[in-house]
Amino acid sequence: MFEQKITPYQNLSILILVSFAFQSILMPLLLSEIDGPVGWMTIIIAAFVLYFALKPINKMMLKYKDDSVLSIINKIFPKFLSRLTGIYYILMFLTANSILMKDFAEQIKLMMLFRTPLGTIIIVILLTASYATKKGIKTIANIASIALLTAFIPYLLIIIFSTYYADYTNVFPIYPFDINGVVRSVSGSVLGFFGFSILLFSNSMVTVQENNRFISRKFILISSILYIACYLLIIVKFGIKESVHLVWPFISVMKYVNIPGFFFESTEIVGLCFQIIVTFSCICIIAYFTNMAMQETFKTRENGYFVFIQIPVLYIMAVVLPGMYMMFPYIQWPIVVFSSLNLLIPLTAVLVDVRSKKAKNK
Amino acid sequence: MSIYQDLANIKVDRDLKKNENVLKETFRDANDMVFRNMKVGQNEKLKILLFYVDGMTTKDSISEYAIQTLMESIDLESFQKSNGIELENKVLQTNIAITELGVLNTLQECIDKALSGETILFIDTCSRAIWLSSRGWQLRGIKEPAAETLIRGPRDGFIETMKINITLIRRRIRDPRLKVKYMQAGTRSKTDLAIMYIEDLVNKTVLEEVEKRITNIDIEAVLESSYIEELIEDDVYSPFPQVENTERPDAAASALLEGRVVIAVDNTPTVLMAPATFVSFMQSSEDYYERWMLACLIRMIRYIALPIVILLPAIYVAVTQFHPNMLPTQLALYVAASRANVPFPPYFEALLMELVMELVREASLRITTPVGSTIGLVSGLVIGSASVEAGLITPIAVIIVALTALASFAIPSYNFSTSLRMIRFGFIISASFFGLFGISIGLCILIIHLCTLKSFGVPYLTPMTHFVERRSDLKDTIIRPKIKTLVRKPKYLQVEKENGK
Repeated sequence: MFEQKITPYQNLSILILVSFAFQSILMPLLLSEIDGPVGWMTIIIAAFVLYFALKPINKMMLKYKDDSVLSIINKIFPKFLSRLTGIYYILMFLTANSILMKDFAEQIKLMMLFRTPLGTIIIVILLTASYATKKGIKTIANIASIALLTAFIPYLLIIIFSTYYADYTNVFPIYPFDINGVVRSVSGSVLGFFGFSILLFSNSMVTVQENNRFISRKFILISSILYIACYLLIIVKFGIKESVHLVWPFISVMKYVNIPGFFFESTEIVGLCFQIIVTFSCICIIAYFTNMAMQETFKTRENGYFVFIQIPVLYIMAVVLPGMYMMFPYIQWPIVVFSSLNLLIPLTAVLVDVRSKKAKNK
Repeated sequence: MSIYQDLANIKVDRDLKKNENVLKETFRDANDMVFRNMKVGQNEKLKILLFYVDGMTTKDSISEYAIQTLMESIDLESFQKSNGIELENKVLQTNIAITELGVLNTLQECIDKALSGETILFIDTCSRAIWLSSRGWQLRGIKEPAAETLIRGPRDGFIETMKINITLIRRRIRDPRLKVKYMQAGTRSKTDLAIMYIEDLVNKTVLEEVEKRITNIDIEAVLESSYIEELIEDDVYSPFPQVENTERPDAAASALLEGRVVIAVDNTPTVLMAPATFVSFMQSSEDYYERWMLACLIRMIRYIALPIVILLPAIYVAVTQFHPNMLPTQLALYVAASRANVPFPPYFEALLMELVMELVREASLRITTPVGSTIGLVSGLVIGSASVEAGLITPIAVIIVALTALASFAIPSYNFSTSLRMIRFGFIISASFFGLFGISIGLCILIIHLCTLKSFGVPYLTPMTHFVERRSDLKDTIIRPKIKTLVRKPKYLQVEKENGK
């Protein structure tokens, strides 16, 4: 009876939320890789890389209206390659979701439920997320908007109020800056803008697709500002030397919040409650787009029940994978591979599409 | 096939006696049905039959403006010789001075009209009957609805007669574009209902959906508008109401002016308003009658009350049972000391007290008003203090439960407040399992449910779910803006005409 697609700004909410969740996970990597407080330069470089990549991608997506990048690839790539790309996206989304879930579950265990087994926390999150995922994109977009209003904004406010004891001189010295470190950590920052991978699918579901370019630009801008602001907040609060040893910088930041009249002692638990809603929305979003990638790869009808296939897979992956903080020393290369592929796949599709168009014209 | 099922096929017979026999057979043992045989005309040769329900008609007007004129008619018998149609026309056009009347073809139609309070006139040799408007029964006075009292605002409320309720709305909106469509529901009760809307403001899709759902109602009887509400709502398994109800004509008129559809049902003072959203349940008519700044404050207090109603007892359970480290040291020590003598775990304590609170509330509702409120107050105080003294609960638990109960009264819609009270138990249980994590997961489930919920196609959480696109709607949510700035109709209703104060 009413439109079942999502609005451009709901799409923007989805992209911002997902990116924020991954930026907070990958923040320790950014802090530890650069020798000095100049990680914001990496973020700016990553934002520019994505901005220029998005231009042709959006143009191509506008041409194939209602098609995600994966279904465009299905049309223009050979069958084997398109299948392979589909499987890549499925695996990438599953890995990302399981890492997010594991990290999140560990935070909950450490801060809130010391005696509850990790598996129980993961299964509770998974079952709740599958309930949302089965409801479809409209519900998920609504959840993202509500999460942005009711959880994300208070969560940011708590972070902002946590500038208690901050030493703003910690953002210096800028010069001389570690060029190698800045360049080396660009791939991690690119992956931090995880909304980019989601956008390749979600843009096809937007009501007014002509606005996608504008929304993508907004997404890059807002996400960059948030990323840089959070990075600087951690730096001013702890200083670069202390920051590199933090497992969950965001939670640590919220430990000392100075809100007048706020009487709770452990503010990080209150912050974590808001973060649960934010991260939970991200898990739903990624699970939904994993479903979508499965549909498009295996050419099935739209089916929310795919989420039930994901539950055991995600559960096993989340339980088996070590925590993100334990993986940091070993994931430099996988991050480079993932972020490069995330950029290269859609750009290759653009290239092939342009070439095939030229060939047709000839 | 029984005579009741066959009536729709039985045409009004030219023979008066035959009609009378069928009707008498149909209403066997129904002593309130009146059959009055008469002979009218100058020579008293024309036989007529009046058929009505005793107690539902105004007999005076029928006697004065129908029977008397028929008896005094000079030339009626001459028409009897020609044919039935001419006689019928003569009676219809000249002999009866009643404003509302019409013709009926089948006996089923005659029965339906008679049971609605009209008088049916059968004339010998005529193959159709005439209904004469004669509805009239004892009415309750128009008083202020007890459940929706205001400090400032109109004091009239709907009553059990639908037509009077429609008039109360019509008095407020003197616009020819205010449309009223009559319908019926209930195979036995044949309850009258009216769909009201303003033609150029209503969302046509919503209107069609309302009409379709009401037409599809298949039920024996509709005794109250709640029957209709339950049968037309989108998700019957949701704890949240999806159709708003009111007993206030000003609230109904306001809903119409927003572009919503109002459904008035006969025999009940409660009218329905659709579509309904989360925000609409948090608004009260009085918000617009008070000065805007005061109204803003009141609204904000309501939105503060909302999480208190749902979450406060659950937070108490989570903090005392799982996260005592969250409390300031002195408070944590006090809580620990007060809990030392209490045999029950915090979740049991909270559930017990909430249950007692609901019992007190239910009991005070069933007792007459002045006594009821006293009983509520006394039992609350007595049970609370006695339980603390007996060491069954902690004083903090009493404070928490009392605060929650107070907050629930701040929610203007009784239906909605009841839903919130109900889900509170779910939160207490989830907090008892997983502490604050359980509450957060419970909130996530609640958000998912609310995000899925729709009222006649309109998302329940709108405009929050589209807070950028519909930012103009956001201004009349948590705060009440100045009336001057309330120029636009809510976008979420996608009304046909956007502007208009």
